[in-house]
Amino acid sequence: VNRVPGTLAERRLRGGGAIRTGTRGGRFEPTPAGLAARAAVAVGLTVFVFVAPALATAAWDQRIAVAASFAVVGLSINVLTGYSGQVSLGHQALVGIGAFVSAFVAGRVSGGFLLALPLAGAAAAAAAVVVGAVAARLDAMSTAVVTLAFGGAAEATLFRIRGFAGGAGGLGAPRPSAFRSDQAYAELCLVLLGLFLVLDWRLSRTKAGRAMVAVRRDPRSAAGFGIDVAAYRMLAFGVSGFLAGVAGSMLAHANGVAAATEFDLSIALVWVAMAVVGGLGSRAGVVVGSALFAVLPSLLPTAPVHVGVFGTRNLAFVTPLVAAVMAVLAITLYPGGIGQQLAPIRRWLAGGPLVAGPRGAAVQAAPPGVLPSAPEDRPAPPIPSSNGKGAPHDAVLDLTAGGAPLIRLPNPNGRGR
Amino acid sequence: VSRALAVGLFQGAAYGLLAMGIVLVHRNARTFNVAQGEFGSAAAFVAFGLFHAARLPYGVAGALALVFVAGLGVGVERLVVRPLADSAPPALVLATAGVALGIIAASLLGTSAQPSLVRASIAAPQVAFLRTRIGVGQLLVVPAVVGIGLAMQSFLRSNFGLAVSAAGEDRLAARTLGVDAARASGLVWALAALLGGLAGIVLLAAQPVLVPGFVTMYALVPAFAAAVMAGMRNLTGAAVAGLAIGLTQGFVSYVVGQKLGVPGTPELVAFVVLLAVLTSTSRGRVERTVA
Repeated sequence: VNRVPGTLAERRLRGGGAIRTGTRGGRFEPTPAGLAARAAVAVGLTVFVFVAPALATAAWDQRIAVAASFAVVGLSINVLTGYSGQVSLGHQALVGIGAFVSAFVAGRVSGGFLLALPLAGAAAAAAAVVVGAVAARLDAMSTAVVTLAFGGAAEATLFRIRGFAGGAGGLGAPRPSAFRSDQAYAELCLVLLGLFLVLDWRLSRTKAGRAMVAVRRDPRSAAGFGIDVAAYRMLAFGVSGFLAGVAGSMLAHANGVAAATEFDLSIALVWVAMAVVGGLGSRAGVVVGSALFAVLPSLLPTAPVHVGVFGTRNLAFVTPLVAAVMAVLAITLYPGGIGQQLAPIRRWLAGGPLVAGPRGAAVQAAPPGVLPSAPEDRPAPPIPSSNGKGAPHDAVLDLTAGGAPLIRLPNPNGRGR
Repeated sequence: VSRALAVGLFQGAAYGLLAMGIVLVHRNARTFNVAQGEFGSAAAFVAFGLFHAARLPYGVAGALALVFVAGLGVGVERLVVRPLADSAPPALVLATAGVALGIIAASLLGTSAQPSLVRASIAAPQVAFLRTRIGVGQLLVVPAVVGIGLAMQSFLRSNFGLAVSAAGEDRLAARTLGVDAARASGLVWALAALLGGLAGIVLLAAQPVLVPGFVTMYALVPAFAAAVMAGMRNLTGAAVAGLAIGLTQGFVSYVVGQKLGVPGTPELVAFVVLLAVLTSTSRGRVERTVA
């Protein structure tokens, strides 16, 4: 075992670890003290998350419950866009279906939350699979429009049926009897979020999870490797729909009511933006980004405020504006989003160094980039082959697990660049 | 029925204009501009603001709004589209969705605290505007939209139009051959925003309800369907397809929506038309063969 060179402080900075040369070929491994520190921080964070509702005021408990629901919405969008590369502009329909089904089962039928939650997920998943069956065979832009049309149609038709959506006042959504208080319900939502995080993590490690990512990277190469592109796109829609449905259920019971006005186009776009800001492909980033945009509106004053030349205005515009600006900045300048900023902490907790030095580079694998990296990081565009026969994409099959693909070709609409 | 068809015709004109913008951007950037509808909302809001608050004549307000929206298109191209020129397909769709959300937020800022009051005060002058023009408008709107389509189509055959398409086919090769891809892209987005803005103002005449995001909600899906019907290439075809979808929607909405009382019939018609068009045309055929 070779000890890492450098001062004690430098070693601390690297995460208190040693680089073992030998058979493992320069892999970084933490010292016992480093392991203990990591365990302590991980346990401390977990305990803090679950103790927080007990320490917080009722208003903050309510915000925690809404934030946990939004985080599940974010995970839902992450499965669809981050894993399988399809864009949904109609998630308000799926979350809304979950909310109304849950309110109906728990409120009208008195079926209880434990029955309402999975039913909400199942109903939204069923709707999503139907949309996915169409979208699976289309390119990214057509999928976006199909989901937009689905969201609009659901909003204008389904959510206006009084028996389903309760009309103008909405449907009452009573909380389960054991979790009536804000604190208990916030705890319940955090437990559910934890459950769905674990499920999502396990999904990403299965054959299906890897297949979805391969489909996003390059549908044709994936098909060449025997992956059923349409089936895995539909699966992504189904999983995303289930998560959206349970998120709608959590949200409805947090607010005590499911109302059609909550589920409109702008909230669907805010949800997409929050997943982008969080960093598509990064679970932790998406959760943080979602929580940010869940809490932001509740921190703004509800009464109209004087806004410069515009006069006295309701501040409802602030959240979508912040989401839009941050999303565009994230896509153009910081494609990794919040997840990228959290990566060192995640790497450290997972047993890697905090600051990845040249020798720790082996564990410094960047999170797989869903969005393109910043222009200066991008490799030069490929030079088209001159024999006139082989399109450039014939030469490149990139299915590596980490890092952005070298060359982005071809457009799925079949027009190679 | 004639009332429903008249509204359908106006809506169809808006769809046609939007569809032309979608086709234009697709020819140049091979992507779908989610913010296309919101260029229209922005123009409608600015036009109405100038007309209502600054008390300018409607024509002047509309012209200023179009100038504003063309500038907006150039800005979007410069700040959002150009940095993403070489990126994977979903990135630009997500980015333009972000732009659309930004315009929706800005129009929320532009409306006053009580949306119902805004709607009432907007409805009055707009209906009056509609009444005075509907006879003439009905007559003019079809040749106007088809004429714009023909003009744009011939523009595409000009040297500059060819440069636009060349940059869309292969940016690198086009640049090697001396095509100014950046200038082409900037002009395309300005033109697309102009067409979107015109669509927003026309749509406001058909449906005198000014709510944030209204062009995206009412017109973007049928406009995309029209663009696909035109093969994402033909601008005149996109204009005609938009008018046809508008008329169909007006007629079906009248029969099914008003006679049978089904809520949201226009949205349902738009959804069904989109699915029919997408499943019957060649879009996505390449992937279907491998999938």
